[in-house]
Amino acid sequence: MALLAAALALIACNGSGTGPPVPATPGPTVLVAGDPVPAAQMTDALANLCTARDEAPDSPGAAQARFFSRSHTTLHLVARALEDVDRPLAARLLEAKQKVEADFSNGASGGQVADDLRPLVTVTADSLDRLAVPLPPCAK
Amino acid sequence: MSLMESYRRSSRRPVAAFALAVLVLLGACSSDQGSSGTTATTSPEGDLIVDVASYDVAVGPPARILVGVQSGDQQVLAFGTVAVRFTFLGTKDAPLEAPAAGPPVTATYLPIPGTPDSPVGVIAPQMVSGAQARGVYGASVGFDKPGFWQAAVTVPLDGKERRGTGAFEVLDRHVIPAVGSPAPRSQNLTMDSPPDVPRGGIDSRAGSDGSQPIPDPELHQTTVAAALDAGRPVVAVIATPVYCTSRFCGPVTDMVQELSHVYGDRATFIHIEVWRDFQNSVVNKAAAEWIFPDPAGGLNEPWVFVIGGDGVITARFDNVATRAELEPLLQALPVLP
Repeated sequence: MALLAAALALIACNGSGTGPPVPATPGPTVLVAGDPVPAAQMTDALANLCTARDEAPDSPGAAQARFFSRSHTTLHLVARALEDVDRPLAARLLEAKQKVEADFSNGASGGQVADDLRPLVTVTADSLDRLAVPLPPCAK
Repeated sequence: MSLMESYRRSSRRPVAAFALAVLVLLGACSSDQGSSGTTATTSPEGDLIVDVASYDVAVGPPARILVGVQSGDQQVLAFGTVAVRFTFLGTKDAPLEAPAAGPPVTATYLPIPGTPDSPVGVIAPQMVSGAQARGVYGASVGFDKPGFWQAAVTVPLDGKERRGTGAFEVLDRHVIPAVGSPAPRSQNLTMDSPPDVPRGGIDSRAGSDGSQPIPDPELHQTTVAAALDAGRPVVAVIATPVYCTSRFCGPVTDMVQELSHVYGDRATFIHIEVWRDFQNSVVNKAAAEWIFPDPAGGLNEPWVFVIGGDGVITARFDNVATRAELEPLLQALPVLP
């Protein structure tokens, strides 16, 4: 496929070659099913999990909003990336995530949400470590 | 071992690599040939990330295709409608140098189950956080050629036209059972399965050690085969509530469970858990019959199938299924004696 890309580029560059630049993803990336995902996005997702954990006891609603807006989708990507290299860890991550989602779905108390976010933070940190993604300060 | 199937998840690498190749082709050197209808040449400009969320897209009559749209800062596009143009890019062996975009089609917002639909009065798409809304845009589109295609989304946001593209593959025929084809007469696991069957294989929410209760026992009362033998229509959701890795995962099984409480007198509702043992990559045989028929192929979920009492599939929904799509189909079924 790389040869194909090179061939295509050569074919295309036979012409005027004044098109827009190829979009680039800044910084290191992790391949998720062949698609590059910025490592910084994964680091940010974990940092927000830490914050959600800390704010959950007093403000479970804020923790829920933060979880779904800043972490949830990226956790799926982390799990998908892990599937290829460490399925037991992917399983632990998805199981911990599902508990937190169930808490939010069931209107669990802030304390319960925090209790379930703690192991999710831990397993997410393990997961990023496994993928060689930098950890945020809160998880080191 | 007779109930087990080995598993190998699909890889999107061919699509990603092909898309990269096309981006190189188009981005490095091509120029836009203007907006003269269907002759416009696609280009990779645009800051939106477009992810074709459909599985098993194949040549044939119009069928639902899904696209998810997000921005680089993890905001997602939600509500209203967007315009999507589909472009045939060629095949792996014969990529097109100047692909021609098709006419725009209108795709309508479909909220992931458990997330808000468009607020009343909101008709225009908006960039929102994942906490506010999550969903995809669906349109009915027919593809006439197998190979690699591109979906280009344009949407007005904050007074500017925003754009993004995503590549996907169209197969020459469906791999997953399609509308009009006979349903696999699966002997899926049920609450009455022998004790040696792991409870987590019936529903992953029971836990890998089976320590949690199965939360939807009413969806595990019978088999697809038995329901069809009795002439009952079937709604089958093939999903793994815990181990879903689609970025569009949502509580689709919960939504089907809710529907079963309303329409249980018109159809039999069944949840088939995907994984018998996720950690060891063992797929339930019944799930494999539906969504993993080719061990050399890929496995994507969730899926929802609607099957007539005659055993023929009447509708199928990949990745995202909404109550608004399913409910009219169920309301059209007669109440069973």
